[in-house]
Amino acid sequence: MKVGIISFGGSNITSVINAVHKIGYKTIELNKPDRKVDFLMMPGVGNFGTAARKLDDSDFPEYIRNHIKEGKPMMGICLGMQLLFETSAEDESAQGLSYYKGHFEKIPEPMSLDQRSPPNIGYNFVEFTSHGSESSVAIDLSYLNGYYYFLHSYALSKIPMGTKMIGISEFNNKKIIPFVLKENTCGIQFHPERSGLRGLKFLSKIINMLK
Amino acid sequence: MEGVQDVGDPIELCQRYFNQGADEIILMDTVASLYQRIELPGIISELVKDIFIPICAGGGINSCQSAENLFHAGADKVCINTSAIENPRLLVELSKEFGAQSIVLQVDARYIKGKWRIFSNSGRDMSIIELSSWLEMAQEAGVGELLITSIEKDGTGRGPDYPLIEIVKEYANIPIIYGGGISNTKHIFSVLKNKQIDAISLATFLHIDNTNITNIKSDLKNMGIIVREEIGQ
Repeated sequence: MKVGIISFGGSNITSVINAVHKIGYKTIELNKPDRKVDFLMMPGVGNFGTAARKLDDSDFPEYIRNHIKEGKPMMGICLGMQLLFETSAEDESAQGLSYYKGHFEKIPEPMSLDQRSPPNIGYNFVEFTSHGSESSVAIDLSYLNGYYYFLHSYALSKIPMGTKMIGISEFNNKKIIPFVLKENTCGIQFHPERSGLRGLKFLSKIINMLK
Repeated sequence: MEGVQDVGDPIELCQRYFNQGADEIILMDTVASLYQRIELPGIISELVKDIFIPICAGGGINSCQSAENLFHAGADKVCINTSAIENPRLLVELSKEFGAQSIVLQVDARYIKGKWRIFSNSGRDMSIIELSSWLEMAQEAGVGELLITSIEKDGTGRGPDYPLIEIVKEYANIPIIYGGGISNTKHIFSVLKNKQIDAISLATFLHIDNTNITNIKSDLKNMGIIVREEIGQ
């Protein structure tokens, strides 16, 4: 199986490629959507508006939609997760791919001295659980509960329709949803490729589960 | 920060610290600004093949292009000091280009004649800028995180610089990493216990004293500090 990694303007994909190699899969870097792959990954860092517009200007949106329509696995990481959704408070005029319905909000400022200042930089505890009526087909991921590396300022706080598995975390007492899985597509807000051995184990499990 | 010693191969050391459960690696070319060289990208691209924790890289970054080279090699964050002091606009440009969350400002500070001063070129040159106004300016410019080093304490092992931490905390509303003077777990505990500081950076304590990070974390956990533990450890 080959994992296609989408690379459009500026996104740093080196660490994702290295992590996928480490867990034993070959990768293809996709600068444009010129070939079909078994598994698609969209990493990304930076500003939602800039990235959404760059994506929109490319030929990737149709390619990604077709890939998902064919039932093949898709994974969005960090900004790549956000781009699978509709909108973000980071740039209200920009539109994501809208595979998931939902909006990203700015994570809360500290209310007291012992709370943290955004951006959310660092390791946060994530708990994985099944969700909705499809839980009978869900797999138990709770053994992967633990600390994962985050680097973001905007987060999802409502679980989108049709989701069968989620990850729950919090920032300054506000619940955030850093992992969603619907059909064969998942979004991951944190960086499994930067979360030590646990991160690699998580990535390996999800790829195995979806492929 | 004088009396720098060669402590070994950076890739080997990083691998060892990753295996011991380090949460992040900060890689600095400490003389890059002085000699105007950049060798870090090559080291980083080797490093990231086997190390799966965040890498913050710095030394000699003086343009968006030189930062881009580090990101492209696999750095997650870049750390700037000297060039930011010489040209504060650079912080604005970097933050716009790469996002605040990946721009770390390194602040080397020392209390001199009643004022907290910041230094460039690895503590060699004192600037006329005062710490408090520098912190305010940096946050305005879009810096996402601070890496604070006490020049007085760095390499001494005589404990953290509490007055420096106090003043930084007073002026900073972004995550803070502190380094300098730490030579035992109690020092780390004393800084982390009130959640004043988000993270601790260690150098001498690891490179020279040969302390094992797994042990540090297990000691901290026993003292009631929440630490990240690796799966299967």
